[in-house]
Amino acid sequence: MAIEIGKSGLLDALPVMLWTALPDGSIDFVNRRWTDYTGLGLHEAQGWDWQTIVHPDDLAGLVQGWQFVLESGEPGEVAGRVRRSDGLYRRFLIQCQPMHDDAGQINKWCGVALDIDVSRCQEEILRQHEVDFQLVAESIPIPVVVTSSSGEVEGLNQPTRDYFRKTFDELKGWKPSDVVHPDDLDDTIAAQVAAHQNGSPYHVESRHRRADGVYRWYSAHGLPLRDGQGQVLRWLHLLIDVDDRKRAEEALRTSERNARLIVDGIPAGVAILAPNGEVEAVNRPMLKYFGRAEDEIKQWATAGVVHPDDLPRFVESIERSSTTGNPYNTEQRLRGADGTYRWFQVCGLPLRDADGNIVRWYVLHTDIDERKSVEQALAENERNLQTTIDNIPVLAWSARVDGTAEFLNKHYLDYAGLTAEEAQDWGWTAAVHPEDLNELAATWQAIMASGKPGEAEARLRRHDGEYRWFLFRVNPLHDEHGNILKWYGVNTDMEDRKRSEESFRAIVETTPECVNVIARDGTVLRTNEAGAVMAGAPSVDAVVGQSFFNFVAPEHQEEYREFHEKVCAGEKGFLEFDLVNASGVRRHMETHAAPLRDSDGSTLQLSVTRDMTARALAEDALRRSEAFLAEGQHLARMGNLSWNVTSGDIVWSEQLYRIFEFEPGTVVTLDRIATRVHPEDMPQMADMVGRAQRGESDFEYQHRIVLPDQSVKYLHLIAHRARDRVDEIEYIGAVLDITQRRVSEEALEKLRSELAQVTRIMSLGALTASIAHEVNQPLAGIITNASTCLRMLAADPPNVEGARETTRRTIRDGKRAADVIARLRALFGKRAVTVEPVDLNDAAREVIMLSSGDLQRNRVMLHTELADQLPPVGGDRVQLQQVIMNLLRNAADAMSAVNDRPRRMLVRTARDEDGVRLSVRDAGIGFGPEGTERLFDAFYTTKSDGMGIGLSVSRSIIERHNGRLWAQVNDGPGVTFSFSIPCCSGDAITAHDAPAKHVAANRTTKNVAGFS
Amino acid sequence: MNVTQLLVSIIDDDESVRESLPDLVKELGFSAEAFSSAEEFLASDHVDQTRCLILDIAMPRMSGPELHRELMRRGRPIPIIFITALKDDTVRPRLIEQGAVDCLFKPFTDDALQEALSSALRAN
Repeated sequence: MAIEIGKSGLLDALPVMLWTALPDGSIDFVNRRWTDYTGLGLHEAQGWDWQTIVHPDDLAGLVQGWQFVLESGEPGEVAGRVRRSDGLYRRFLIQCQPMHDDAGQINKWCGVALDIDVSRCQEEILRQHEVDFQLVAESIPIPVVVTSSSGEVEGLNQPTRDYFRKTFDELKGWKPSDVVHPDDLDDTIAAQVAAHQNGSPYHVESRHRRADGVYRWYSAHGLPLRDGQGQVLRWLHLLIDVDDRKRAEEALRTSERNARLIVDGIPAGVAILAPNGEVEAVNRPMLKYFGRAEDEIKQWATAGVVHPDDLPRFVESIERSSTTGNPYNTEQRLRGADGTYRWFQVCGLPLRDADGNIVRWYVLHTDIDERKSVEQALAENERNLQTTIDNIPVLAWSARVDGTAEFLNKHYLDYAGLTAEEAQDWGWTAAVHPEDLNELAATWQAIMASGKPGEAEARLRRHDGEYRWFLFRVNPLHDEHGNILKWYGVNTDMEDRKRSEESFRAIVETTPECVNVIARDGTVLRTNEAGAVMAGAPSVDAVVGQSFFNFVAPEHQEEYREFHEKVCAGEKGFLEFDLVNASGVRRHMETHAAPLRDSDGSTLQLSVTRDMTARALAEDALRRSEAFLAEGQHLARMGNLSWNVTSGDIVWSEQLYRIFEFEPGTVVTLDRIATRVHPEDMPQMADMVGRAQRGESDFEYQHRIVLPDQSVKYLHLIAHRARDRVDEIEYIGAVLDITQRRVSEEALEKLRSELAQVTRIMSLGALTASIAHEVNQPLAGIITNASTCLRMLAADPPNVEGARETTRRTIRDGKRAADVIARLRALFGKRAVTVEPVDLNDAAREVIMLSSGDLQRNRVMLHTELADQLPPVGGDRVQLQQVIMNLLRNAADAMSAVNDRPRRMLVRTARDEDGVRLSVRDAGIGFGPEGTERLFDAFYTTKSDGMGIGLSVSRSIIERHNGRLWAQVNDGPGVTFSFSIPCCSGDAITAHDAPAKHVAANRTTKNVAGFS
Repeated sequence: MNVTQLLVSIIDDDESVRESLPDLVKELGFSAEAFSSAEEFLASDHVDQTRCLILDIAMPRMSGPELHRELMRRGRPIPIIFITALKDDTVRPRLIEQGAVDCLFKPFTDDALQEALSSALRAN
């Protein structure tokens, strides 16, 4: 015990400052070491007087600490600087230990002041190297171990033995591993090894196992003791029990670690701010969210973590709270590691000390992005809802349980042109069409009575007065007990649908195809007129309600029923079957059917059934008629074509390919056609193409083609412009192969012209004979009489009386001869000119029409330039037409030998001084210079086979019309013949005798010739 | 009147011939009777006495050649001199072939007539 030790005087020898104190803390003993150091005697240190040597700055703490230890009754430490006798302060750790009496009461305190100014300590140890460490160690109330320089244990004190509860000998051979906690072993060994090598003190905190197996924390100090030469003699190891402190520290660390874990474990950003708002710390989730270093986050205001739009508001909130000290709660977008912004609620709470000063701000970041999105969506929805309700293109409304209107949307009000007030209750009915109102009201009452959703149709008047059909649909809103709270309704504009329904109904009603709606059991629910006809029933009503199966032919019944079932099961289908109607008529039908959902949810068959009997017949007929047409074309040697001049597309019928001997189906072009056209007819083709390109309505051509075998075909083309195309020129045409006809025609024509020639000669002969006969009779009489007379006078005696008689008869026969001539003249002169107004254009057109075949045969291209509004001429239409015909024939004949140029003929009419002129221009061979002179002489002709009569007759006719006929040689090839006749002047028409007589008198010779 | 004179009958529908020709025939020393048609001649009692017929070809009703055939049929082959105002060269050879003495085209000369009559009577 310390007191016993103190008595021994050994205490004074201890190289440590040691004291004892009474339980009240007053010092009652200090050892010599203590008095040596402080320079104070016991009496100066006794009680509480020792305070004078404590550094003034440390005094309060030291006294307080000492009192704290006293009060605790537990071992404790205090520290402070203590003045040495020379006035120098050195720091001491003062360890205090209570001493207990047998009753366990503290009867004394023992303290050791350890110089923790190391250098001093070393000095001390060096100076005391002679000290018997065993003794020293024994006196120290803490475990002390003395080892040799090589680490061998030389001594250890009682506290050490007590602690480990081992004898000196047992402990002599100890190793750190025996007593030091395995976890601290490495550090301990390392520190000791380092210390031994360097000869420097060590200090390590480590757990040492007590005898009862409990490890306690010790602050192990190792101090080398050196001799005068500085050689390490021994090591002094002090074990200062720091277990409590260590445990407290450990607890604190654990608690801090736990706190940290908790903070980091909070699934939200947490930040700790200094009172001025600076970030001091942030937790892991916040670091993770921002994906930035803590230092960056501390610069949040400029680091771009807050959405720029929200930053000023956020900064302002924090600054305001910093000023006022009030918590803040803001919402703003923060940018995460992935660069997207999310909404966060940031709550800042101040932590205050006892005086109410803010020590810190705790800030919590809660991710509210989803809530925000939902809120925004909700807000948007709410905003939209009203807009939607007001603007949806339906009329939306709600009604109270009693049926009165509560709400009508804007669209409804706008539509009806009513205000919300006007429409309230029953006001809206003002817009209902009067004819529909009763029924609508009845339906509404019925729906309300049923308490179920319902619908109705009625017309609603629009603000402009127009009524449109609407479908009213209404649904009840129930409370949790099933009671109706309200009715919600929507009126849909079905005007267009209604109209289309009507037109559909009209279509269905009028379609020649039979439309049926058939119930699953086969009953006809609906049908149309065609259905009634098909069923052989007098009306639609007679069919509705009947079973459709009854109309199906017995042998098809089963198949039809199967088909019907399938359709009613939801499949679309197609079936051909025979139908036997009420009149027993059997027809072959084709039906297309689809399932139709009925209002009661059942499925019906909607079918369109077509009478195939007629179609089959029609198809047959069409096939036949196509075959007929093809056969007909083949027989007629006629092909069809269409020619789109604009696009150049030419479509030919098969027969046409055959005619041209082109491969059927190959592409036909004008160039390709041209390869077949007879070279002499090329100008005609060019002419035709020209006409077509001008879009003339119709044209007709005859031309030849030369086939590869050099055989020639005559073709007749008739084309007609399709009128349905305005922007395009398209012709539909037919091409006839008239080769056979043409060959026979030419043969016939030859025969005819030969015959005509013969006839002409014959008739001339006959006429001559007739004239001769008539004249010869009286001539015969005259000659006979004269002969008789001569014979009578030559007789002897002369028969004078007889001679006189015969002479008288001679004279009479002479008169008779003159009478014959007169009679002839009368006979031929009988055809007087019939004067009537004649439209020369019309007359010419008729002649052209009559001659066109002839002209085309001669490959003459005839053009006409007929002047508009020609005045009529006075004359004999037939005679004038004979003249025109004669001129056309002459012109055609004049070109018959022309093959090196188009045989172009131009017929032109025009006003001429006081009359009308018609001219015919040819491109023929013309006539020599002397020809013009003699042209109109009878019997003059340039034609080898002509009679030369025509022109002379023509001239006489024209002259009898007071006109004139003349010829001119063209600048180019050919001649132009023209005649002009005075216009018809009213009265002149009736006075036809005079000119007729005049002409007859002057033109007798030519007249006779003209009728030869 | 010398009954021995031979009777020449003249048949022509033309009056001037009926007036003038009998005088000339008489001047040539024959007896002459004129008829306006073949029917008139056939109905007369001069048929048997007629030694020669001067017959117009073209006459209404029965023509000259028809009368010729009728006489042949009746077995009265009277020599016939045809006369005609229609000059048709094909007619004369055909008629002569059929038995006519001659065919004269009006107007004919008295010499031609005399020659033809001589031929006719020679044939007789």
